[in-house]
Amino acid sequence: MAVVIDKKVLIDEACSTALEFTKLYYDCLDKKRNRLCKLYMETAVLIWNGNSVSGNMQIQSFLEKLPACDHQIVSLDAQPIHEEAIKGQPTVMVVVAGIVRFEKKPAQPFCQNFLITAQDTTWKVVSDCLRFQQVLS
Amino acid sequence: MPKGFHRGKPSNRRTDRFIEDSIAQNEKVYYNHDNRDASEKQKFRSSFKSGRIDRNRSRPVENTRLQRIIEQQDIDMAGSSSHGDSHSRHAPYSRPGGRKSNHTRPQQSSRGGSSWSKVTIPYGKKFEKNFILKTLLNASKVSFIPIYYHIEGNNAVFFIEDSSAAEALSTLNKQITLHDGFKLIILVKWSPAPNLPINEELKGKIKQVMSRRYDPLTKTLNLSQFHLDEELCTDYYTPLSRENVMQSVMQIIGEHIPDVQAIDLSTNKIYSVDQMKPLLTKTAFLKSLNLGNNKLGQITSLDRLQGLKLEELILNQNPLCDRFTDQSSYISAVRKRFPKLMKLDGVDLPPVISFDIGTEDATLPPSSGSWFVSDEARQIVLVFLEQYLTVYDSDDRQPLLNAYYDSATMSLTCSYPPGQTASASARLDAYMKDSRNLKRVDDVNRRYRLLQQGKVDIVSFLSKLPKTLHDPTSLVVDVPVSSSHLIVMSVTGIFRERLERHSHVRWFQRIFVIIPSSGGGFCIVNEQIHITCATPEQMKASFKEPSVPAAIPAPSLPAALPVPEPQTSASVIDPILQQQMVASFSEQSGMNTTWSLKCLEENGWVFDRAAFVFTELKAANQIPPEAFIK
Repeated sequence: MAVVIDKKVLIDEACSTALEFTKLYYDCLDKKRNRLCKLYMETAVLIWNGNSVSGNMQIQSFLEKLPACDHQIVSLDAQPIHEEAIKGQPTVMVVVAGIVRFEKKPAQPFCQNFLITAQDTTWKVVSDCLRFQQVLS
Repeated sequence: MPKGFHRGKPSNRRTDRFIEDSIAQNEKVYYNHDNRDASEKQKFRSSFKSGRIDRNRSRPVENTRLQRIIEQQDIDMAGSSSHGDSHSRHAPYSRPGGRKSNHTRPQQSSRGGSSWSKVTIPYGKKFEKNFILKTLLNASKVSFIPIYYHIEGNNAVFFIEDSSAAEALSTLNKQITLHDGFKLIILVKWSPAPNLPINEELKGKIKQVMSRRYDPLTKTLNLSQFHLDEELCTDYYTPLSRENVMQSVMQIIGEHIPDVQAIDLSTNKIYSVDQMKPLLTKTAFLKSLNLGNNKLGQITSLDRLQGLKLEELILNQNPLCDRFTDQSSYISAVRKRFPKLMKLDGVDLPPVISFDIGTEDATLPPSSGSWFVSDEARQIVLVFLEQYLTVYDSDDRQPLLNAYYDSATMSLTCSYPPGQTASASARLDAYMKDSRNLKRVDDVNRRYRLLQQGKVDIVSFLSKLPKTLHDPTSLVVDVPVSSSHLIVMSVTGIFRERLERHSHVRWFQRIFVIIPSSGGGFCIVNEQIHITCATPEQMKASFKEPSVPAAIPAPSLPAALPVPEPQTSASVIDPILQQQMVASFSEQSGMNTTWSLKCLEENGWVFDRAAFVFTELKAANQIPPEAFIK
């Protein structure tokens, strides 16, 4: 008989995964961009302010070209993706709001969301969407 | 003092020819030729090309440019003033070659330059200003610049800044006989400098003069000897050494020519750069600054301008230059404040050697609009979103029950923009207590409770949130993942709260994970919404088009998003529910099922809206009779 994992445990795990993930992710983005590719799935998709990049190496190379930056996370939320949508592959939705300071630029508020999924024993980013709080012209 | 620090006395820039010229040309000309040698004069040419101001604004551009090139031979850029004697030793670098002529002026007052006199012409009111000035200029042995000519009672009054001219004028008292035999009385008295407040009229005049003194081609602004500008000096007194004048000038620069690259402020008796601080924030491209021949006393006073990315600076003929005993300490003190400086007082400095870690070139990619992983996903998502938001913006959010999976989950976070602490007008109180911000909510049970679970809980939670109106043009949709069993969509945009007293504008991000529902449409299994205050720019840009009255949300798709063909297969509303709605609508309206279906479809399956439209059309007698044939 399969072990039925309590929903509450799943929800709690999603929260701690998100806390750990964001700490790691923004540390890499701010200081160790050469390791970013390891966080993404090989087929991951990044949509950065409407610019889309797919593939973990391509995503790292895109992010490496950004000016030096420093992220400050103001708000974080996470939920486990519904069983019905993922067919047994643990997946967590991570939602971040904060401020990013790019070199020589004023502080920029942003929102970002990730889907991270378990590949064997490692969490990998499936999708990453970022939008600045700005007026698109 | 090292020998190299001496430079000869600057010459008198006015010559006797001046008066004849000006009268012959029948226009007031208060500038005159500089007598110094060419090497001296040209030293700032590379960046301050418009040394002399055009008098004739109607001249075509080409001519103006040509004229400037010719006139550059005569530019008095370093600007020796009539009081230059006391400054002569402030030149840190000497130049080979002397002056061609050196009219030594009578010594100025012992106060080191400025010596003002007030000239009063009793009963001068009855004469034309030009007549009086021309008469006096003709008769005086020493030419002068009348400043702030105005009428006080019956008297004409003006100021002069030159004591020898004052002396010359006082000797003319009762010496000039006018046509009617009246002997002109001229009273000359020592006086403090005139002081006049800056009103809107004067500010307009300053703006006009600055505009004439700005060369848009070279982005050069020449404010040298500003208060002696022919258009300003006779009627006003506008020295840049006065705080209010400099403030106005800085304001005009910030508002009208923020892209200025070079500013010449030489020969203005400026003793402090405090009022120039706006240059740091208002100008992004300023590379050249000429502060030569002013009264800046301390190198440290330039700290206030630290941060300007100056490549060229002229400081000579300021008292501060005197304080250095050798060139190298002078250069290093200036460079400490302006590290990118390449030229100081017209002399090339050795290039700056710095570190390059190659981050200078990195630029942010420009942002663009919505992005969809596939066209199919775009169609599904846009129809879904339109239907969802139409209901969400209505007065009744209950029908959203149909949009959620039975055991869906949903949560909300909110945060204030950086630096903004809950300003009373935009508080996020309506959301804060439900904010599931994991950065703040540590308790496992509270985290659990703040996650809305099950569609009934979710819709009842959503129903309690402030009523809204989304700005369709603000919506940006990103769909990174679309497969046969799920679609992930991330939406950002602007909505307005429809509250009785306030109408706050918010920016939100909403993530939906949707899966195909058994009924044929799609339904939400996960949702997260983040809400924050809109920025002033967003408020300005939002709701540009006249908004629809809140009670009747209009079927509208963002203009930026192409409307897909309505496809029943993409509908989120369960077909069984649709049948029920049609039956109910038919019963209440009296129309047959075909027309009821049509009305509901055209109104995005929002019952209330369809009912409203029906009532309107019926009242207007626009529903064909066949609609009621059952």
